[in-house]
Formats: sequence, structure tokens, C-alpha cells
Amino acid sequence: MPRPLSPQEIQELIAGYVLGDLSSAEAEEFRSLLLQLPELQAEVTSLQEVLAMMPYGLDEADPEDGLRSQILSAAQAELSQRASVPPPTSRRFQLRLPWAMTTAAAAVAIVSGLATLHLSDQVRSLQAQRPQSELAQTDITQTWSGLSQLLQDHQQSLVNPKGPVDFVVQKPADIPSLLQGFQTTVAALPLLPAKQGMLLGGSNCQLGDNPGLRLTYQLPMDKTVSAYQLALADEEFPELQSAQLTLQQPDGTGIVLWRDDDYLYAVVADLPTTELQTLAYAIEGI
Amino acid sequence: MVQAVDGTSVMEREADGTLVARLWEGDLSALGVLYDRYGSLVYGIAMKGLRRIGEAEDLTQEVFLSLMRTRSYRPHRGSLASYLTTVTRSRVIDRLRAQSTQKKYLNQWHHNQSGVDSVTPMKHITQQEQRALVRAALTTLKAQQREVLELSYYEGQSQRDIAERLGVPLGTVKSWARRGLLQLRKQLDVLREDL
Repeated sequence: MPRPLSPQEIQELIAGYVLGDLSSAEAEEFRSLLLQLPELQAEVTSLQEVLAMMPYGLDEADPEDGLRSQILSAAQAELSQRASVPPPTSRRFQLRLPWAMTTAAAAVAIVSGLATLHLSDQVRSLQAQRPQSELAQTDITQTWSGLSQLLQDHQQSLVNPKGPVDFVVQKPADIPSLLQGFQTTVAALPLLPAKQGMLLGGSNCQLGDNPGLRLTYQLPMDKTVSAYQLALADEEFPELQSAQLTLQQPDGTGIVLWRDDDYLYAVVADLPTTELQTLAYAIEGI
Repeated sequence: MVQAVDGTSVMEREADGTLVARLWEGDLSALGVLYDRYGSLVYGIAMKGLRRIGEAEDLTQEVFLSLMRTRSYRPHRGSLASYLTTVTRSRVIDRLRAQSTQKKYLNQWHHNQSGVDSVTPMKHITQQEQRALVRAALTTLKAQQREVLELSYYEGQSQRDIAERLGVPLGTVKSWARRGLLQLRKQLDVLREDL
């Protein structure tokens, strides 16, 4: 039985977690500690808040007076430019059209627990009759166990003390050669435009019998997004047709799934579903 | 006594939210007011990390334009100040990372930062008061503790990199950073009580 930690050691462990410098043994220790003492979560939040105060400690640096007018002019120029192009929502709709023509409608299901996700023809057709944004309550018969594995893989990558990726990616063209046991082309990768997220790197992943990859992106506001591409070996995967399936966990983690003839794709992150869907559209490259 | 005109009190935060909404409707005077409130904070972080005036100005512009463009700020999720500092810091680190020839990725503690800004314990005081508090608290840290925290926070350096850079064992860097953060909290608690 390991010796119990002193209060000081516990504090330092929490600080290490907040700073992201725990070794794997410490991370394990921290996880079990958090299970025993859930109240430590408040300590975590408190230290995160303290860390977020750091910028207030900087010496005040006032930018040159000209910067204000420069920013306002740039904003003005951008607004004028925007006025001459269609708004983003209609653009997205147009871009989605050819894709949407292959299916009756995009299916959106928001279920409260992933363990109970089932999909069936009956429900799909039910969803297809509903507007995309309407919640479809699911009462379904067929399970896909890959979903919980997907979620687990995402969560584990976030707490991996070595960082969320197996390899750093300098340019997307390098990715296929860095993968093991999974073949893909650059065109098929779940790539997010650089403007929308910074690609941290990639990882090999295996969900059940299905090999695949995970690309990890960092978004503004420090959100980490996992984008998956998995080989479709057989009928194990849900029949999504061309529709997207959006799910949200009670803890706020959302998943958007879609597929083409060869692969199943997913984005997973602690983000509102609308933002996740936007990312999914961006990745689809439409 | 400096009379602060900016801040993050509850009322002013609503005003920030209103200004952002106006900005999204195309009202650029709102952007001017927001810049007057937070321009210096954003620029300060950019200068600290990038160390070049031109780059810091460029990044400040980018942050304010992205506030207008991305529409990703949600008032109910936290103060605009927290949003802007988080976005700025993240972009500074992106740029430093892009500049770096070394292959490395950001330390995972980035994601641990998410959601931090929902409740800031200092929301009832002005930005000037916050600055004074944090500065005072930082002075109680040992020089190494502060340096390690700053390298990690503003430049996104991993502790392994910092250990190499400072020529000390990794364990020492970890200990400096952890104790520094704990000390910072302790001092902030003490100073807040005196407010």
C-alpha cells in the first residue's frame, strides 16, 4: 500500500496537473486521488483561475496611438468586403447541396447518454422527415459500440501526459507516411483549414478491429478537437448514409459523425454542437 | 489614485456583451470602445511573448478583428477580458511555434485551461485593481518560480524545454512552477482579503 500523500504533496500534484507537467505515474496518482476526493476539482479550478490571472501581472504596455485607427480601418475594409459577398450561412447551404441531394436530410440526434445510442432504419427515416435542427428522440435497436471507444480515445488523448499526439505534423502531406497500419491519402484526411484550428499532430488509433487515425487540433479559446478517420471494414459501423449524426454527452462533449464510401469520420470536442457541426463542414471541404 | 474606467464588474461585463453585439451588427464605434478597454491588455500579452512592436501590433489587430469576424465570444461563458487574454495568448504561442524550427507541440496543459473563465474571482474589481493585485502577488515569488511560470505561460514552452534552456533538472523546473503557482494563489488570497 503506498504511503498517503501529505497535504503539500497533494497541492503540488494539483498544481502539476493545472500546469500540465504530470509524469504518467503522477497522472495516474492524480486520477485515483480525484476519484477518492472529488472536492479536489474545486482546487483544480481555483488554480486554473490563478494561472489565468497571469496577464494582469504584466507591465502596462500601451500600443502606439496609430494602432487604434489602423484596426478600425482594417475592420471597416473587412466589413465593406463582406457586404459584397453572400453571408456565410447561405454559402454553407449552397455548398452542402450536392452532398445533401444523396440523402433525404441530414440526421441530427441528440441523445443524453452514449451507451444507449442505437441506430435503425426506422429512426433514420423519422429523422429524415424532421428539420435538421430539431431534436429527434431516439428509440432504437442497433448498437454501435465504437462510439464509446471513440469518446474514450478522445478523453485519453487529452490527459496523456506525453501530449495528445503520437507525432507532430509539419505539413499534412507528411501524415500518410507517419501512420502505422492504416493507409490513406492526403485528400481523405480530416483536415481543418488552418484558420479554424492549429494542427498539433496525428496519432494512430484502433477502435475495435478498425484501424484509423486521429488528428488533434487546437482551437482559439484553447479547445482541443479530435478529428477521426476510420477504415470501414464491414457492417459494424452505423449506416449513416451521407448524413451527419450529432450527439452530445451530458458533460458537454459533443460528437459529429459522418461517412463516405470508404471511411467513417468524427469530430469530438467539448464544444456546443453547432460549433462542432461547423468544424465538420469545414473538414468535409465543401 | 487612478480612476479606472475599464473593468470586469458584472454591470460592465454586460456592457461588454452589448458592445460585442453592436460590433457584430457592424457598429465600428463599439470596436473602438472595446479597444480602449482591452487594447492595452491584449497588446501587453503580445509584446511579452513576441517581443517585437510590429508583431505585437499586428497580433493585437488580428485579435480584435477576429472578435468581429469569428463571433465565438459568448458572454455567459465568461468575461470578455478572459476571452481576449486566452485568444491572445493562444495566438502568441501559435506564432512562436510557427517561428520555432524545433519540432514540438504545445504542452497539453492548454486544454486544461478551457472553461477557466466562467467564474473569475476578481470580477468585482477593476482591471487596474487586478493589475495591481497580480503584480504585487508576483513579486513574492522567487525569481526562478516566476521565470518558469512566465516561459510556460507566455511562450508555451514545455517544462522539458525550459529545463534545457535554464540548464537545470526537469524535476527542479516542475517544482519551481508548481510551488510558484501555489504561492501566487496564496498571495492573491491574502491581498484580496485586504481589499
